Amino acid sequence: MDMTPMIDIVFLLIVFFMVVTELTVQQAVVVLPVASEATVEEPQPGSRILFVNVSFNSEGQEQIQLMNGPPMTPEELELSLRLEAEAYGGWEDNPNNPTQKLSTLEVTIRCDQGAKSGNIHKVFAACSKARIFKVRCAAIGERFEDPYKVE
Amino acid sequence: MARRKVVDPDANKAEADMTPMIDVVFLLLIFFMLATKFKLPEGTLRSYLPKNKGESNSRPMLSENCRVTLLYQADQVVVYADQAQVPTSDVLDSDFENFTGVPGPDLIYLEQHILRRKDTYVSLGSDSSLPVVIDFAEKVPYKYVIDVLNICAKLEIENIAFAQPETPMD
Repeated sequence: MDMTPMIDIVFLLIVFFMVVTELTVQQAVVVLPVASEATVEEPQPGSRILFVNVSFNSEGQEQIQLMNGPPMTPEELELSLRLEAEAYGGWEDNPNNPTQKLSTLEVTIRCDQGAKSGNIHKVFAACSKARIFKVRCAAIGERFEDPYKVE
Repeated sequence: MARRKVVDPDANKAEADMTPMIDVVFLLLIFFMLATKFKLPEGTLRSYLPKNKGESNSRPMLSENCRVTLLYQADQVVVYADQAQVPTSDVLDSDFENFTGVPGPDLIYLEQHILRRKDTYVSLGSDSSLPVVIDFAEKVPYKYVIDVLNICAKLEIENIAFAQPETPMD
């Protein structure tokens, strides 16, 4: 019996699962809140979305991270966002202030549902100071399993 | 008389035994299948920051608005819709509340209040729709802020502002 096609398919399956497994560990573990009205929007071509994660570390303390970077203070986050906005280079006019440009960089805040809301004030302030106004709050439409279930 | 030698054409052909490789490949496949946890698609609620204040993140006082205040008192979230206190829900209606064991506010009451305000809103100045100001204390779990944002999204309210924290942030 010729085993070659079966081995081909099995290898393809392995590659698929390896890639998917890699994708799921790229973001910090955050229990997102449930919001029925949350919409999944396809990113515009050429746009860039940064994720700010607010999660609990292994000791149960809240931490703010830019993408999967190290925990940072609001001041460090503001500086990083400024640098990212300058590196991205997309700017648009501020209709209320002709002397100022606003970045077209987008920020999605992925905050744990149990974290203090005060973190959001800090992230909003950092984004605002970095002249980023396109901010979104991540949520999931529905959840099928209890994230706090102890296995 | 010399006899002709019969040569078997397959005699020198080496064949690898594939069985161990297939065993390992199947083990790998099962491992990755079990290790894979598919993520649910993540959506977002739009909360664009105001452009009009430049480097500051405050917003001018709105003449008429619906103010939702979320306070954190005795390990419980207390919500005020304008001046009226939103009653506490009778049931634990989310995984977070099941985890903490503390019921949250009655979100249906809050939704009806905002809907009433929206329906009776008379446009003043440049605000064509009811402005909703969400004022939350620092310790309020983020879930409840999203609940309020979700209600606003459900009622198609786009004029949403987050109030500045009253106490200076650390």
